[in-house]
Amino acid sequence: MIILKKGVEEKCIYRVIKTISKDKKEISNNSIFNLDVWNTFREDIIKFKNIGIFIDSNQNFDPSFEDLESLKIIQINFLTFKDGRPFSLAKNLRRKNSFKNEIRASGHLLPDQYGFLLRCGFDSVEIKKDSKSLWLKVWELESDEKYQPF
Amino acid sequence: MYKYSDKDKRIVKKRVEQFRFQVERRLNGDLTEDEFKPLRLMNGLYLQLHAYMLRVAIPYGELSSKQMYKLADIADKYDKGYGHFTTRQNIQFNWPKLTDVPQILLDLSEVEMHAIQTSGNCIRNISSDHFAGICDDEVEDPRPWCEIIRKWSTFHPEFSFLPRKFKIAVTGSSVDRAAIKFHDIGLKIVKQKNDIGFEVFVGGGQGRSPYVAKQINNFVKQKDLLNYLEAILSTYNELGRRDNIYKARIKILVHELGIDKFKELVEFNFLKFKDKRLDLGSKFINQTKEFFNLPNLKIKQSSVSFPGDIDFNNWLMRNVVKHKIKGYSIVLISLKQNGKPPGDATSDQMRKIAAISQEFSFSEIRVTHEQNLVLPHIENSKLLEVWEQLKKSGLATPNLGFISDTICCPGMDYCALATARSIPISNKISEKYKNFNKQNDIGNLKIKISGCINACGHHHVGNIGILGLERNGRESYQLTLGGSADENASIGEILGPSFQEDKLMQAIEKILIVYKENRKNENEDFLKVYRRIGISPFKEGVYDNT
Amino acid sequence: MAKKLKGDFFFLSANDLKEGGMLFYGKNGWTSEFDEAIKIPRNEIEFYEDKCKIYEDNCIIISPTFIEIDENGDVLNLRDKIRINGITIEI
Repeated sequence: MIILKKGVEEKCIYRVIKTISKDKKEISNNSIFNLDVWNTFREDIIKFKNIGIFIDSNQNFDPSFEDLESLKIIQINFLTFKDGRPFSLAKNLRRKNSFKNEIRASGHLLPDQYGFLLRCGFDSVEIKKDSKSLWLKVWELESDEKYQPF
Repeated sequence: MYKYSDKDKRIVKKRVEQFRFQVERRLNGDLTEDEFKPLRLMNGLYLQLHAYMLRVAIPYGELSSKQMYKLADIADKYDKGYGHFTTRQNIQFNWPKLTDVPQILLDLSEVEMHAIQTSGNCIRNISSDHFAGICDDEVEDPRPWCEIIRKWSTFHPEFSFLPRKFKIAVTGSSVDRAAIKFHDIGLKIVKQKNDIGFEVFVGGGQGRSPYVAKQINNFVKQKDLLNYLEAILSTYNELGRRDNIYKARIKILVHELGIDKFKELVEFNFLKFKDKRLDLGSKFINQTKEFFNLPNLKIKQSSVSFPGDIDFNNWLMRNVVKHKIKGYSIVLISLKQNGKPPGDATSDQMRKIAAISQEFSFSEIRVTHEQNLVLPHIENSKLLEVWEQLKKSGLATPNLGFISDTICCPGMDYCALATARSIPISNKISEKYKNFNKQNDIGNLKIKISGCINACGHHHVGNIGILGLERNGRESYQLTLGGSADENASIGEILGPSFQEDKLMQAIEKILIVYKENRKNENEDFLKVYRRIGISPFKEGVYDNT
Repeated sequence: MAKKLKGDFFFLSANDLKEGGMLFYGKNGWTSEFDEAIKIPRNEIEFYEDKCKIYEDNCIIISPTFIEIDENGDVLNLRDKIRINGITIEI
């Protein structure tokens, strides 16, 4: 998998952590924790640097101001490309919560959604390495002109 | 009429290129059918029983002669020489090849047309009153607002993957000809003191759970319209159900939360998180309005010449309506010719209508949600000539609002979802009651026929609704009475057990007998009688003797 | 695809991906000629389902459907009759 950020390939510096063992050794810098882990180990996690949260598209996420202060990245994972909730979630994180750090999309996505993702406030997408050229080609066909002011 | 800006043209052309590439990716396997389906639907392309079907957008039902000529050409070149006008003022072609569709879209773009968002789980074509701007009962012409909403909703980044489809209708009149209370959002332009604004209704719809829309706000200011729509859509996108396709429409969300709770959530979004960039300035509103100025209609004493032809008189009585400018009339073209599928027009008929409009109606044509067409500005002294020309092409059936003016979905003849045929039922009705005097005696009566519970034929809001079902491998039809899609909206009540096809016409005849026996005078039409006497006499009249 | 099927024999149909038209599975593969459709007994359904999957993956067909027939080869459902014989109305 690679990260595509505004059309440019980047290496992912984060690990996604979905379960925590007894000694909590998984909790460290440069990690993205899924929502359950975050809710359970929040106090431990926020001591580290470059941390993020991982939300599936069907999960409710109503973050506090303190949560957002400590997050470098929010990764929203599409269980299916047809689930459009993350578009509203990302917009709300930007507009309602004034979240300034990275919002990343992952999961089942179509290249045809790239423009919509960026316009709703996503910065980056996680995609398969071999699909990069297709994503860029579809993006080239994206219209520069929009009917909405965003 | 609206004219594309250069920006509109570029956006539509770009879309053609995007779709061409999507088709290419589908054919080479880069896209699975599951992935391609929502993309093709967002471009109006369905797969039906026998073939693909392409639904082309006719924004708020307004067409030019030039566009109508192009539709005729497309019908001939890529289809079987006809098209079908729909209840949401669009047109469908029933036989295009997938590989031809990108070229069809390119052809359409030459006349400022497209198939964008005519299907899919996004905001669909905005529909409106087919008498917008030409009737004298409206507060304001709704078309400029439709155009503003069309632009805002086209390729909206947040609302292109909603839980389910989303339909918006706008009317400027207190007489509702756009069925706004059966839309996900219905907008009614209203005046408060000297301010123009919108009464907003939400959560109407038909299908397997029909609901009349509820008022969510009695006055949204013009400036705030898009922010208010945005607040509703955003609330729906977040909370609308995605676990069950039959419960995914906004009507279910509004019903489950209750209108008060739903309103609270929407207003919170609206008041707290309004996006200033979406505020509508008066300059922009006025610029949009300029596109919809009436053509240069000179007020004149223009009277109808009477040849003493009874057919012409009947047509004048049923298909011609007063225009707001003195000396002009609005002509309704019935697409309910006896023996033909309701809403269908052949390419020859389309060309004829385009030519008549060019000569007599400033090249303007409208599509009604009842699947007829409108020539909006006909000088009274030309009515006879227009009638003669329409008549030659089978387009002067004098049956507007009569029992044979049915709304009808394509049914099992075309549709993969249908459980029964609907067009043959409509044909039987128009054959049985084809005599003008017979229909005139019955008076205003709206029959609406759907071939399945999805209710594309609006059976819930038919004065008599007919729902085609399948019972033990045979087509069977359930009747509902008392539905109405107008300003006094109501959902029809089920009459009783359904009828096999061969018993259906007899049941309808019995309903008409009960109606005629009970009406006080000729002016009391079917719906009035039904509302006065209720369903019981009809049940007795239909079932007691069968 | 076969879950709700009734009866003992079937024809296999689908739509042509590129053109949309009706296709039937015959002796020599997919054909638009209904007369060439082969009668498929119930116990071979799975075999043909697997076959369909390959044709779908190779972007040849979409929407494969088994048509229920009786032992004489007469089609049982109205929807299938309309799919095979075309619309029942005059245009």
